[in-house]
Amino acid sequence: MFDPLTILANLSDPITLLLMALSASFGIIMGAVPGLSGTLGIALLLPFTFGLEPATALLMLGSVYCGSEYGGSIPAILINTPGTAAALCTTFDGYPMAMRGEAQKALYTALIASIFGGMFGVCALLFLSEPLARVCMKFGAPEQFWLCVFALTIIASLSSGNVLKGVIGALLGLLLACVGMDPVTAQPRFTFNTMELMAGINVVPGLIGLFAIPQAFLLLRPAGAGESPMAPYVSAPGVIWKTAVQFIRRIWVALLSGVIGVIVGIMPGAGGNIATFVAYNETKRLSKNRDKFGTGIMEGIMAPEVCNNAVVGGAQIPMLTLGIPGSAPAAVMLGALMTHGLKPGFSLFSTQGDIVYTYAVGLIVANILILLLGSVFVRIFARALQIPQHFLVVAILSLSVVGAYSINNSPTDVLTMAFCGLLGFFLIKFKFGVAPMALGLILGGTMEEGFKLSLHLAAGEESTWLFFFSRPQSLVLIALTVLSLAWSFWKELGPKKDKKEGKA
Amino acid sequence: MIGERTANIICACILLVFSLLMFHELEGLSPEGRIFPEYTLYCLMGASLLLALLSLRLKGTFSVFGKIPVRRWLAIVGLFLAEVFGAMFASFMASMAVGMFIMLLILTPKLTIKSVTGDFLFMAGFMLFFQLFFASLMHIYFPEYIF
Amino acid sequence: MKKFMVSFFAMCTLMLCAALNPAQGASYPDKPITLMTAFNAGGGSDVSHRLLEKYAKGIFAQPLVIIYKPGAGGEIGWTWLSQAKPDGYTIGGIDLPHIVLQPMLRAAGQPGYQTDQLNPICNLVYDANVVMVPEKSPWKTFADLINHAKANPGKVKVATVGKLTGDHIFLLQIEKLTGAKFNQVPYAGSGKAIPALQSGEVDAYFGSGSSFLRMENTRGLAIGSADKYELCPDVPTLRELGYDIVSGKYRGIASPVGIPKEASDYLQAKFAEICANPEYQKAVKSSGLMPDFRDAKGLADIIQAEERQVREILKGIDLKSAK
Repeated sequence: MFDPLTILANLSDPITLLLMALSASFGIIMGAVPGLSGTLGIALLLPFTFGLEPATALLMLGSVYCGSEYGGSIPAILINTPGTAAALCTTFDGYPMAMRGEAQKALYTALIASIFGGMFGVCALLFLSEPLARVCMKFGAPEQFWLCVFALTIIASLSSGNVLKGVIGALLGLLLACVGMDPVTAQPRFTFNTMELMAGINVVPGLIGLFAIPQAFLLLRPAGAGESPMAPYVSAPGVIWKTAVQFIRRIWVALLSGVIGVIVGIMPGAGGNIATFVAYNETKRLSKNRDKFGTGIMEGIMAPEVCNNAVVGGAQIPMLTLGIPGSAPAAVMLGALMTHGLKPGFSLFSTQGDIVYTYAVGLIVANILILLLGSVFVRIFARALQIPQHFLVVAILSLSVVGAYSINNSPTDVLTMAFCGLLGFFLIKFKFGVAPMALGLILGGTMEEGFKLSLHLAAGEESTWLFFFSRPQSLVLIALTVLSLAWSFWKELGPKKDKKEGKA
Repeated sequence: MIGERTANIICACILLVFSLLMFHELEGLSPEGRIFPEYTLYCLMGASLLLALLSLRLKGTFSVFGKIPVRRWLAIVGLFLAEVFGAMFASFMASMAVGMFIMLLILTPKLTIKSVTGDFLFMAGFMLFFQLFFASLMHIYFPEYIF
Repeated sequence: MKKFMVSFFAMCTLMLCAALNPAQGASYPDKPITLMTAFNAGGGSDVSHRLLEKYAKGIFAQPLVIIYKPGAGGEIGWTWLSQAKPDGYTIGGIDLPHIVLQPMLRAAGQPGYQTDQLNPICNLVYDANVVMVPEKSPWKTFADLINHAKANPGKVKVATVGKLTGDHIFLLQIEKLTGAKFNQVPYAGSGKAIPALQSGEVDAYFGSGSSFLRMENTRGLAIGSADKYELCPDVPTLRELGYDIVSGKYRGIASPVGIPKEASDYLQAKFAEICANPEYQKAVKSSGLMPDFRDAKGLADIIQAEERQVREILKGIDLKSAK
């Protein structure tokens, strides 16, 4: 059971710590290269853990997971490209902050936020597993659908200016998500009868295409025309302490995002992507500085980064207690658990207690290691912006090709990435923005699944409409959606009214 | 430079035509497979019409390419597409190496021996990184149909 | 400076050539063998393949490298496998009845693999199908469930993985022989169906035994194995209950057609060795599967038997309405 001495003994083994540090570094790099992800990192490291003790193996894989959720913020901040899908929201404020010359501050904010979120999530795992797991069971198909609808309302706040274009972007994203063979009925949609499109448009190549490629093309502006894309890097000493102080002043953001991360992380199938959208949106709504969101403020980085690291803890709660992973990397961790002979279940905490508790406490240590490693990485990465522009363009384009390919060894993914890249460039230029489309692409599959399952489940009931609107859990989400929409409309109409009054 | 109104209306028309074409693709499917894309297409058509209507009042202009020199953009995009196709269907290493190098040459502000060498080393360094980190370490093998 | 450039250039070229042309080995295998998983990392197939990878160390002369080619319920991976170079270095995990059902039910003119384009190497495990209900369900026996379903046709919600898949065929068999009618709720994978059953979203789940063994708080009412199933000794077989239904899934290894005989023999022998390892068998059983090694001929027979059975079951069922 929970024996502090055994756990400390297990964790102070220098070899274990070294392995965790190496795994965490590997995880950070995996997260930082767009295309590579924590899921792939865990899958790649798994064979190397076979000869080790289960606790050590789990610690290594868990360190990769935590590291990758932090690593994803690095390219999001530096080149406006999320390294992992969960870091998408970090681009909204991270990149503008870097453009102002405050790249170091942005990177440190992301680092501290990630560590906070990671520890928050692990504490939830340690102390609240059982009650939270029971909450998870209440989450069914209609809730899945409504959660996606709720997440989509964020478009209204994203596309400051033209909400309609944002909606169109999101609808295009949903359509892209429908391409391929329907996972349930095995019917091909929008595939033009080609094998290549049967698998559909994968999210990660799509994201690389939508974010990285246009970024590279935009960098084709001639430099030194009095308008360089990135402000000169100013190395300020003591940045990390100043950032930490400012972080603590805004701790409510971190706490709120942590809670959102854990709760949404528990829900199977939702995972980190949806959680960060919700966290960003809610933080923006409740903040006094809500108009500054998107221009590069700390809260805008804190919210998604705390959230996506809290998901690490949250997603593993149902994984360990019910055998239901809350996110894709958690699914691979589950496979790893089973390969090492551990069977998930509530009894896991009592029968294999020392392994599970060593793992959970060890994740806290992993987060501390990431803090130390991250500080080193930040110094290296912040200087990455210094390389001449033409190198940066070519580097981004080449890494995009390789990153897109390495997900599934699939040329289709690379072609998808290129297609989304061109499309993304024109979307940006015609003021549609890429974030709504990315959102639609990420949510489309989950949303359709929830919708269709609800239809099936309602087939035996009296009325399909009633089924969608009758469950209390659904009503909570529907209420949140309506509130979110109403608030956005009110905000849109508000300033116009003031303008009219001002003029008159 | 094109008018914002014109740009939006062109986009709306493209989207409408696209939606109609996509409806054609959904024929022959059972209701279960068809329902979600169909509703999404309807919403898309509605939103495009709304966009066209609301844009009739707009008066601004904007430039699509901004400060980016168009010829340079076309060259890089064309090169990128050729590089991608070559990498996936002919030879990854050759295509990426040649593609990267030519791109660097086009973009390098001043072509001197020093800068060309720098470009070459940069390209070689990247290719080495791909070979070691991806192929050797992670067993992710790139397509090589020619070799 | 020029000399440095030339020598560096030459070195790079040599390195590239060396990397691209592996030494022509003497015998098979002289480079790592790629094992393709047609599903996502973390899934049931992945766990099986990871176990193979783990126990192959020391038995296989070269490492097994696992790659993922998920999508379209396995179609992407298996089509890729059928078109891969038949040099013996590319193999993949296959599932039955999937590889029989998919080509059979595919629309005419749609691209994809054919069952005979996959060359069977060996079968590894068997996974019987189970009729599962949550523990707090009022039905304690299979008869309870069937009687209730007959009294309330179309009201009992049953989860299956996919439509016109192994689980669905299992459901159709039960419906045909018992006369009961259920409300099928298709999920995209067992990872989605399992929480649905545990939370009570559906009333029952007709699916893999491996899913059943992963869950706590569920009761198995009937199992589709031919005889008593070692991993679920308390669950009566459908045959025992009087229904002639044998339903389960097989997982094996296949390659593209035309690999050299040397490779095929080596693979069969080495996989047989792995499967004979009692540690491996223990690990397989604890992941909910029954080790059941068959050689290439054995797997080919299984494929033919499955094909016959599926055709029989689908006769008389209107496929358009089942979709």
